[in-house]
Amino acid sequence: MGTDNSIPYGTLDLLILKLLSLEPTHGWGISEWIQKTSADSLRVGQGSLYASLHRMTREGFIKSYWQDTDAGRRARYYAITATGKKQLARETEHWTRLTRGVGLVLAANAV
Amino acid sequence: MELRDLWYRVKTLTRLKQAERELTEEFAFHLDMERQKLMSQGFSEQQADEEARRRFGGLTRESQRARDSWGIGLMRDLASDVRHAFRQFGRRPAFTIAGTLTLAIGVGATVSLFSVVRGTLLRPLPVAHESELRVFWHPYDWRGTEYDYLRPRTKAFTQLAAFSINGYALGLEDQTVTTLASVVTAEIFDVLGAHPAIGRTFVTGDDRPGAEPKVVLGYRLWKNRFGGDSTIVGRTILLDNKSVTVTGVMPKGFYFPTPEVEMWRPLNLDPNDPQYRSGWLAIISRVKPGLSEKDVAADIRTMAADLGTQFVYPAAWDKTKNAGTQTLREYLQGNVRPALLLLLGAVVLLLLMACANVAALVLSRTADRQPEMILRTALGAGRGRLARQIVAESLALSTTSGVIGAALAAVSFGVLVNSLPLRDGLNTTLTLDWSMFAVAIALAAVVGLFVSAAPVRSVLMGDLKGVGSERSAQGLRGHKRFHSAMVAAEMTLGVTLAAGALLLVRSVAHVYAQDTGFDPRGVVTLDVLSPRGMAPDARVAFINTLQERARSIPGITQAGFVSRLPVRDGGWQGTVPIESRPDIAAKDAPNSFFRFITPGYFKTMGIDIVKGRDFTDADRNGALEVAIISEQFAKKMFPGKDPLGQRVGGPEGRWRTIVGIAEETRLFQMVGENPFCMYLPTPQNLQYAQLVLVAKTTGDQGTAMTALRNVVRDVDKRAAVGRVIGMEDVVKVSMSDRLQLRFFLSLFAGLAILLGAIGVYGVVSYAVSRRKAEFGVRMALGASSSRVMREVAGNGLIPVASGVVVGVVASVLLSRFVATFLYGVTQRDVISIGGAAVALMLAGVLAVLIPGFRAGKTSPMEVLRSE
Repeated sequence: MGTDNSIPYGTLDLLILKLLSLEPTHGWGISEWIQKTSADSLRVGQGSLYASLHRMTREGFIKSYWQDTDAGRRARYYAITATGKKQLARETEHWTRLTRGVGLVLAANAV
Repeated sequence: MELRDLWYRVKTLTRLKQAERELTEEFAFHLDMERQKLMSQGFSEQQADEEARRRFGGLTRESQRARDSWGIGLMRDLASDVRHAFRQFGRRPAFTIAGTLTLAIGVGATVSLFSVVRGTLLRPLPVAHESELRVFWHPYDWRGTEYDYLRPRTKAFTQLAAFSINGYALGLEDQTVTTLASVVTAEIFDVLGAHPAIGRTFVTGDDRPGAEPKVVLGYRLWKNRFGGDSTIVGRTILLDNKSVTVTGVMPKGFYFPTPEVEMWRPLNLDPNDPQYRSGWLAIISRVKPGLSEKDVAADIRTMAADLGTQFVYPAAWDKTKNAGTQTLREYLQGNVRPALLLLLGAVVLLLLMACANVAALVLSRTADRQPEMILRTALGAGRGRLARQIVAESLALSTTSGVIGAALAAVSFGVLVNSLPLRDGLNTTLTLDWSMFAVAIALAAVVGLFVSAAPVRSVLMGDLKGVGSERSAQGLRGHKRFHSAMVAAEMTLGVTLAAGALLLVRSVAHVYAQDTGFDPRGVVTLDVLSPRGMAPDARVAFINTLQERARSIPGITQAGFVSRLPVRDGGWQGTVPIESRPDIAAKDAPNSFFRFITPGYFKTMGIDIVKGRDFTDADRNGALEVAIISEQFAKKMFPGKDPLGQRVGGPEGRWRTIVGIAEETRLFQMVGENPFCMYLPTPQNLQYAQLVLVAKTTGDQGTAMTALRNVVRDVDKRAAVGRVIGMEDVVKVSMSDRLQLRFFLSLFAGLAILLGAIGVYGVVSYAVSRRKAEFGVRMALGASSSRVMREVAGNGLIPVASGVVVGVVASVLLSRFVATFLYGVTQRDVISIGGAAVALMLAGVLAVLIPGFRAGKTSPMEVLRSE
């Protein structure tokens, strides 16, 4: 706990949904993408990643299927569902509101 | 729960294997990709592999987290809880092993003993309506004449039956063996309500003179000696060299009066037989249905009073006094019952101590994990789930103990059965029942649930509120109170067990310290059955030859015969009139045992002749009839006079001249009042058949026994050898109740002290480890290490001391349960109870001081760094 590049609790689902709304990919792909697009500022724990993927599959936000990669290797791909898209919209809005609020509070100099 | 969610869970559950496989494949893919990436960045293959794994985290942990998100609930959780529990135990191996083993010992011993109790005290006897069967007072002391007198006079009982025990030489094709038979009146099987498996039992008249000799075989004898041949019925077998017709075979499991009896023969109630007038029978009968105990008692009183009008009784065995009956079960198990129940009680105390240890273990485990639990609660883990994990842990521990305990029970059962005071072959009727294994594991599981109650309560009641450095002061205090109570309880139980053991140890020491009057060292004994119907001269020759041959065996320094062994056998006794004391009425004449001996007997046994002379070969049949009397006999019946040359009434009713006084010897018990004894030369009464050959050896007793056996067979192959046993063992057997109780109670007390010490050590060292930070800080602020040590010791010793005090009180209250087994000590013996208190106190102090010293050595710097 407390390492500076871990992802805040609850936001991992949002990031995953975001990526999968762009294109279906496998677990490793998601972890690489988060790391790269955040310029290495975020690192996702694999345990949390797969726990999150499996949970969201159960909740119906995403679905999984087996497919060969470009290199011809079999991998489990995840893709967003219609429910997942709605959830993404809701979560994105919630997140934006939250971060704006937090940002405003932090920017305040004095009462 | 949404339908889809439910569907997902069901699907996952039904294809769990595949789901597992896919999970593994998914992770493998991830690792491969990571590895390839790292290698492309210049890592070597091995480095890449290691780094990829490191980044991925613990494989099992991660896959577990993924699986958790499958949400397949209780079943998976429980399995994982149990796995988790075992992993947790692995981290504290010493305490876990101690906890498991102590519980296993407690469970194993309890189950083993309970099996014995169930097999003896609870199993029905092999007779119909056993509670109606009553054995009359003065067992094995009734005469045929009294039995015939009483038979028509009873109102409360159905017909009476009489029985006794007798040994026979059973002639087989290639050898002669001794068998134990019960000689019975013809109606006994009707009274018992027992029916033969094959053939029939006896009919009225079979026990009267002139009846054809008959025998009913026991199942075991029939199987072992006659191969279970059912055509045996109607044929004859050879008993004491006489042909006897087999009329029937009793069913498997039937025994009467004891399991070691292998056959039944009719008594011969012949008024012309001298035996008709000697007391050797026991009387049994069945209470008529519907009668109250009061009716029975009234009938018994009437019968006793009637006896007084017909017979004259010496004070020593006045059958008109203290008349009463025992149930068959009381009669058979009278001495076994208190011992067994005492041991069962002791073993339950031990089990309670083991429970206390395990409870303390589980509770401290919970407290250790408090930070973890607090965190998990904060992250949304349900309290129910945490509680379940605690239960799973204690169940894992306790059922493991149950399995080990069941194994211990299986191993110890045989040893237990053979070393408990189960005389007369009772042990042969016992088997370890497989259902007991289920009981062992169930018992352990109940213990597991019981010990998890306290920590589960603390979780459910929300003791997890405080976080971090406070470490939930409230919860800790609760634990401390619980731990103190456990320590005190263990000390109490320990003192109680140790006090019981010490009382027995001291009693046995007192019994051993008794002067037996004989020296059992190096003496071996053989029961010899001489061929019946031998002419008197031939019998004398047989005895003399045997004695000569025995003495010529290398290593054997002395040999002789006695009719009945000291501290083992009862035997013939009777009233002895004294010629010079006509003032003593026939009724008040002294009662004495009769022992027929050959001249070598006193020398072999190391019994001194205090005055006068030993018997010699000249004291033969036809010579002056002589007797040697015991010291107490001489002192009490001839006060201030010289008994030598005086005449006393012998067992045959003729005067015998006293020629010597023998050193007082314990007769048939090691303790209690010692009856008078009169010794007579064997050749002067050849009717009495009992012969025990005693021989003193300077060498190996086993070798001597074999040599003596061979000599008997050599001298006359129709003679049979019965029991063969060393005299020291005879002494041990005579006090076997006490010896065995001493053994088991000492064992239990030793375990109790060990368990107590482990418990105290565990609790105190746990408390020390919890307060390590506090000690570190205080020592950094200048507290001396001896002050810290004193505090730890003080905290630990208060419950130890109070437990010991309560234990002393409990011992005083509970010691009445051992009272019947004590000798030479009172049940409130200060040395025993005090000794137990000191022993437990010492163990407790030691167990407190070790962690105390460790606390005193806490390094402030190390603690501060680690915080």
